Amino acid sequence: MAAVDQIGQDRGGIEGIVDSILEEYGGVQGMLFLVPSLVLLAGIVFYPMVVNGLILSFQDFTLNPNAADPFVGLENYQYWLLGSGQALFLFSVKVTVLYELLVVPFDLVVALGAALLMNEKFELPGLGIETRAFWRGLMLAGYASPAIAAGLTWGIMEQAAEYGIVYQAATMFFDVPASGGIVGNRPWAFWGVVIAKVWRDFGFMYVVFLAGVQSIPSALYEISKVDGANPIQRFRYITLPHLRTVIVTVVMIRTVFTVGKLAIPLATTQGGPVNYTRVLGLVIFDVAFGEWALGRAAALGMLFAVSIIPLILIWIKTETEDY
Amino acid sequence: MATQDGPTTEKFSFERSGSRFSWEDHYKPVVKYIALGVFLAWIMLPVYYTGVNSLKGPGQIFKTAMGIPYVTFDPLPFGDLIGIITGQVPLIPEAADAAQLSAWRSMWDAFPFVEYLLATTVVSVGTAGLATVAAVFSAYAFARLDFPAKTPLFVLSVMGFTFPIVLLAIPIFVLMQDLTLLNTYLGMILAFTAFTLPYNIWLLRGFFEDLPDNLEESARVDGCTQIGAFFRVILPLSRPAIASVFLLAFLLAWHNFLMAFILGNDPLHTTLAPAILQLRGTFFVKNLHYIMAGTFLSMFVPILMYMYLQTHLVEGLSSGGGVKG
Repeated sequence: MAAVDQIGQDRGGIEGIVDSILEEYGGVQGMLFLVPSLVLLAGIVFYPMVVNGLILSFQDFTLNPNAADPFVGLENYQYWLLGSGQALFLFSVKVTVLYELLVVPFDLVVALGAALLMNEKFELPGLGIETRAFWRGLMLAGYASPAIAAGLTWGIMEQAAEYGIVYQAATMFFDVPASGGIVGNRPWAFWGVVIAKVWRDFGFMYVVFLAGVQSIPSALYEISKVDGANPIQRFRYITLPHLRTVIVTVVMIRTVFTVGKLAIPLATTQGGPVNYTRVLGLVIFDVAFGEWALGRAAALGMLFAVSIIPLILIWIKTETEDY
Repeated sequence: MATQDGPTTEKFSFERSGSRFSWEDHYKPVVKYIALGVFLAWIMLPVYYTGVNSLKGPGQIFKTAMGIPYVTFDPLPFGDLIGIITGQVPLIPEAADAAQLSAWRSMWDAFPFVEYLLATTVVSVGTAGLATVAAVFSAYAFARLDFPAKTPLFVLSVMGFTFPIVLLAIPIFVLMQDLTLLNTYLGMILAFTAFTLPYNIWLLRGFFEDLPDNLEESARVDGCTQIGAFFRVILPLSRPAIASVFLLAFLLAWHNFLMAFILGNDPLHTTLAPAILQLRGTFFVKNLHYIMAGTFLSMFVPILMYMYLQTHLVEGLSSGGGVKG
């Protein structure tokens, strides 16, 4: 070991200097690698979150940089929990929960279906050219699109107009009112947003599932075929058990990472009709950058952050338990 | 054959290789192509819709939203081919000007699209570069080095990504206002790094963990220093992963609406995503084709990148953190 260190010292130059620092400080050396990202994160995440975010929620904040922002104690929190913002707050919590409960299962089913399908071979008949890679790429079209673009396009297609092709198709099966179309009427607007959301988001789960499906040994399927298992049994007893951990992890990740997203409801229905699709993230956005009541919005944001801490803790626990 | 089919075959006798219709040979090929067709129809619908409608005038969108755009230029008659070769006939005839590309062309005039594209590219590349370089180091430390308080530091590092962006947006807006970095590339790049950096750390940590355990030791036995082992062995090995993480960060920045919306309001300092939402406010219905063209462009660039990336992406995303099966 000493010989190895000797070689290290002999190299000289910057590398040698950095290395001798590393040797000197032993266990702390790994921390040196963290310096760039921790400095960045301290400046743009921790500092603003604590100093601006937390303190802001106790202030009556105005945009005028010269005016003092008076501290108002818990008034901002009171507004949401007990005051006149309470109805909107509770309603948007309900909307958010319902939205997640609808989107996640749909995402899961669609993504699993797509992953299983894309695990098949798609040879051009007669030519022997494998086209699977191309279709696999196309499957990601939704995930590649900006959420705003996805929401905007679906929103336009769901309007009651000549160009609203999804609305036109829906009227064939359902009784969608002509005034407002899918995006402007009560039960339908929610589904309109869910379709856009699933279209945009299922790609993430699909990519993960595809990797999972590919890692299942094909010998298992061969053996089960010899034993006479039908396709449904093969899915039930081979594919699903193999994907179980992946499914649990990915559902959790997806929920944690998308619970505060607002672009799709904003672009599809703008939270309407009235507040019917106004998720919590959208309420914060509107209050902050529509009404410019930043103090109030920060208070709501803090409430939101506290309420999703359990989700984050579960995620962190699974992430770090292999340490 | 009938005797072989015995009592066990009631429902699934078609599975047997000897039977007339087997799932594998007869049903599956048909079913899978139908399923592929249905899936692709749904997935490509918005892309097709925005693509074709961006090439139409408003009148034509109202008439046939799904139709192929009516193109007015005359195909070159064969007789002109000789003329083109000899240089007597111009390659692009005057008539081509009447093509319905007008939606795109007049949008360039009416809406500063080039500027938006430029700003989006600058901000996305800057963000991806900053976030990737910083993430490589700390992801490596989290995956392969030992130091005190490792878990709390990791949790702190990925915290920015677990909290919704809208919660970060308000403090960051105030911070950028204090620093007078509103409407600047630097401000946007820093703000975008707040959520791309944790994501990159998380993805790259998963990748570094999957590398063989004794790489550094072998390098050191061969005379590399500790830092040298990182730069000469680990980094070259993980070039594909770093490239795909860079592109994912690029796309995360390209997709982001919220930060760009709050931090910039002039064409040179905001990105495409808020710009197309603004298009809806400015032009709706009367000039639907502008929205279509804008939306199509903002979808098309990332779709091409994903198509190109998709093999790397499967590795990159699925090696990230806890997604390992």
